[in-house]
Amino acid sequence: MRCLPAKTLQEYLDGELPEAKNRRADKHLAGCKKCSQRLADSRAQTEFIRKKLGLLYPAEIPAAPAICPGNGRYEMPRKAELRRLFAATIKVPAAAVAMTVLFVAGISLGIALGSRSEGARVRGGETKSTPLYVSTSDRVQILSLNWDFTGYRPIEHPQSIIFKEEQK
Amino acid sequence: MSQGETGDQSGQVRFDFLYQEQFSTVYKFGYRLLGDAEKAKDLAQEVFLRLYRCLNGSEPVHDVRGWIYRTAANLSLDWIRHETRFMKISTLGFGRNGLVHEIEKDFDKAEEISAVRKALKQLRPRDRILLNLYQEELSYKEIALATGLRRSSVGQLVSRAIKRLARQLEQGEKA
Repeated sequence: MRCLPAKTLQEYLDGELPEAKNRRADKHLAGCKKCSQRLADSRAQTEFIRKKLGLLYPAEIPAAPAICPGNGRYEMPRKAELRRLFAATIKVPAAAVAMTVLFVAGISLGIALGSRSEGARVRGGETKSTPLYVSTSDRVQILSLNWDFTGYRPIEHPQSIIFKEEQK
Repeated sequence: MSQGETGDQSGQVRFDFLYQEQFSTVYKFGYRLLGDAEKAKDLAQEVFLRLYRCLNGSEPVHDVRGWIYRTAANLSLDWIRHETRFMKISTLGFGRNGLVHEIEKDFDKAEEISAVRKALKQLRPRDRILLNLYQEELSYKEIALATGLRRSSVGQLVSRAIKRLARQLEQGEKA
């Protein structure tokens, strides 16, 4: 019988050989000094490695963190922590920003609607535009915003255009 | 466990039990492989989060122990590859909660641990995982399930990994 390969020796050592193969290996090892020596070496090496790897066990093993139930579902602690953090750091400011935006939008809409009704009254509904003040680097321009939102166009209103120049 | 489990009540009860029973196993596995207590804890949490989703989902889990090791091995492999790619950790095992504490307690032992970690780091990720699973005294069948290898290949690969690690340790001692 040929000498045992390394794979078979390892399987023999680990007790993973099927019964029939195990018997054959036993028989061979009984009569082959070389394979017996290889088996002894392999066993020593495996034990050495197991001992070395055994050093890597942690000194302390923490208890399993508690599982927090939430909304009828389990939630891992870390996820719950992240959720709490999100509520504290993002949710509240986000709500504040949303409320501010809504507030500003409401006021703007109110002003716009007020101006529109005034413009319509003054001009007798002839125009659908309202003045919009746009500040540039050195002067104030007055533009007209078309209510159909097609864009801005300058109002021919010389007094208003030189408004900032007069202030200088 | 031989039969599959899906998202029923027994799945949740089973999860509680498994979580308490297997957390330390996964933690130890992660600690040995990744060399850092925090990473090991993260690994364990991620594994059990996935297990929970599986037990409460439609995907049946046939062999929970094998499933846990397979998920832990795959996640560890991803982390090791990620670390290797981005060189985020210069030396495994010197994490905040890793060996520093042990060094204070026993310098000689810490040096030995450091040498083992250094040698392990020289191995391919698959060999590292294989040796870790072997150290856990898993059967070849379980190792095959966890790593996706054929059962018939496990013996040979374990034997080679042991020899490679022994060689690395020997080289480390000479250096």
